[in-house]
Amino acid sequence: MAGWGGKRPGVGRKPGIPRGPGVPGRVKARNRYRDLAERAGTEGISPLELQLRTMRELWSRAHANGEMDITLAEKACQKARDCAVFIHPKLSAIEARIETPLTMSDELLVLRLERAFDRLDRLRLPLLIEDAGDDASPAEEVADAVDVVP
Amino acid sequence: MPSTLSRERLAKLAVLKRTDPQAWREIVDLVLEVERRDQRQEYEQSFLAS
Repeated sequence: MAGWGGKRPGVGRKPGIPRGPGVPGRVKARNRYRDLAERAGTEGISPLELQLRTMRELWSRAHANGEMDITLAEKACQKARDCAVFIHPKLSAIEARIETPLTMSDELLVLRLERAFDRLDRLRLPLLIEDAGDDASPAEEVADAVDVVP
Repeated sequence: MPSTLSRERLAKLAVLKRTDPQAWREIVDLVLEVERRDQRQEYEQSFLAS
């Protein structure tokens, strides 16, 4: 090592290269490739189309004589492999988050319970129970309410 | 164990059980989980106190 700390020569962005997302001249790689692909499509046959047509032609020639020509079929498979990534999206694992009271945090659980009670409080009781008053509500109704087997 | 629900809420739950079993189930699950956590906390506190 030449020294301790300080500026190191030759590091960082090269001079003259525009920086920042708003600076003109800076084109995202994604847009650049999309423009290129669009231009390729409008100017004539696209690379993907070319490969697909070639693949189909090879495949039909491979079966032209009744028996499969394995050499041509392998070439068609090679083309198919090249095209497949653009046509068949890869399946990826999706993480499913299933939220149950058991997995909720204490805060969220209390919040959900408060909301549930709000909903419950807005519920109107049938006339018979409402008129009977708190003390007179039937015991089986109360027992029934928290019986977890519906 | 005595429930923390008021009698009015219990009566409403009884009605909800018949009219909307899914909503009833959700509320009961929440209530039971809260009570379970409270009980657990009490249990742990009893160890700390002794």
